[in-house]
Amino acid sequence: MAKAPPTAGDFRHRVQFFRPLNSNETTQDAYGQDLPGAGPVLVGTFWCKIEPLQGTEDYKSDQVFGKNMYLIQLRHQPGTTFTTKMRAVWTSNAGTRTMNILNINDVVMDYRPIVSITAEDFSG
Amino acid sequence: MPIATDVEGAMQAALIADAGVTALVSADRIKVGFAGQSLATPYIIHFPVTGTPTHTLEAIMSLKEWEVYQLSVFGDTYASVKAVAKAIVAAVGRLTTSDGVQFMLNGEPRFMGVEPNLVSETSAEAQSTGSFHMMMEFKIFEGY
Repeated sequence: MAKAPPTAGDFRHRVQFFRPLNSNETTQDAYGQDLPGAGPVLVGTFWCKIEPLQGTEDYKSDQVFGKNMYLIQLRHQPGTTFTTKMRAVWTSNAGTRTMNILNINDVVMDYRPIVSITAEDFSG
Repeated sequence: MPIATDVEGAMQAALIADAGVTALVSADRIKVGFAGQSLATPYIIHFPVTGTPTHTLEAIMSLKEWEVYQLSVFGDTYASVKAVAKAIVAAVGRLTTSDGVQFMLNGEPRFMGVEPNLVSETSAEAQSTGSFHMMMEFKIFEGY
């Protein structure tokens, strides 16, 4: 059965989307890696629906990381192209979660264009 | 600080005692074997890999030769892990402690790749989603 389309009330979380610096906006260190410079650029802050999908723990770099998967949905935003290189930063009463965007789908739900994003965070 | 009674403790003590290392990695981020959870970068993990006891006709001597003792540095950037690796080499690349443990750098720091796990929230390196891993090997003679 298809999922019910999100209603207006579901879009109640403020999520910031940051893009990495372009190559012409960065300088490089002696190892050829981008220096932070001005940092990630805020693309926009949008009202989103956020649905936690799965939580697990991951073992990498000799550490254990809490890993959470989210489905982020928002209305189509004219003039904004979302890419998987972006970060989604969700600030709520529970703290700030910086999410790595894994996948983006443009879908139409109930005649409304929706951007559907799968993201994960490693908040420890 | 507890007195080292084995090779891991000797390495831990030697690293923590060096101001050049702790200037880059605070002592609470230098650990044997396992980093735990939510440890800030950069951090150092070290542990023995292979060792050989010294046999005599009568018994096993207390002298052990650790052919491979691994130190791993994890950090947000290549530059940060390289700087820590250099500090480690300067600190214990060739060192004999007062209790007779000898550290000898046996493998120059080499890059092990990026492990995709960390998403830095504050630094502009938020563009990277991994931790850089640099590893070096030591030969250690332990007399405990």
